[in-house]
Amino acid sequence: MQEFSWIYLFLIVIGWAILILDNARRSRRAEIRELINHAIDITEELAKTSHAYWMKDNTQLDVPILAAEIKRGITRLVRIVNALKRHHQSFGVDDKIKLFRQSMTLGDFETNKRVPITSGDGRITDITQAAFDLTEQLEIKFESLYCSSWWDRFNR
Amino acid sequence: MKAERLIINVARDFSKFPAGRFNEDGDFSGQRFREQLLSRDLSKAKTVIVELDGTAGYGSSFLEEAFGGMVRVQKFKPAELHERLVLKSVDTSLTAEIWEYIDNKEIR
Repeated sequence: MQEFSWIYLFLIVIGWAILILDNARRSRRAEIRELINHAIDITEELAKTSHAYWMKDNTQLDVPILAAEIKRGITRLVRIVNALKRHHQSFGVDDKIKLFRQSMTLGDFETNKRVPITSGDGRITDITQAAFDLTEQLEIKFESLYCSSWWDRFNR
Repeated sequence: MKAERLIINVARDFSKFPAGRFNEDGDFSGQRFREQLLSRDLSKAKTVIVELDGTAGYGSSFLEEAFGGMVRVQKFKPAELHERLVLKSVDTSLTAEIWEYIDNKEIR
């Protein structure tokens, strides 16, 4: 009889541990999802701002504001990605951030000789592509870490 | 005699709002940073540490002109800069980008 009570106790402790671990995992997952959503929002906003910047003439009053928003936005994006990296190193998307910054701010960015481009210009496509690659990479990392079963992760 | 090392904190010693490529683009351009701070300090010290954090952000055009220009304009060898220049930032994509400009002077 006493043997049974030990088995029950053992099962209760195991069940309790599983619940605690699962709750911790769910809450970490929600926190990371929130950070990723924030990173995606900033990336999409940056791409839009950048499109607007490159299609405007330097004489327009809001051009310096758009340029400043782009630079500040990248800094904010980096902070969020750094927070994600603290959760899991695989969220390191430095290369994608570098390409995104280059697509938006290389060449004649903030120069007097910059001329406005049209919506069909290659730079517009490059910015869109770099933003897509960055957000896609974050989604893929999230999916592989938090949307697969333990068996999938074990086999990976 | 050269100092052992000098530290440039961009936000403190140059501007919190670095912007533009050439001098005619503004007071805190990449060209001005290169000519007035980076080149000068590299001629004064064996090692120059550049602290990049604390600004409102960087454009690649500024970075290319400031650091890529060290090779393209100031004629430093990339190997020498690897030996004597230390870049510090919490943004590792930023330091990687700068080294890319130093190593590949054709990117503009």
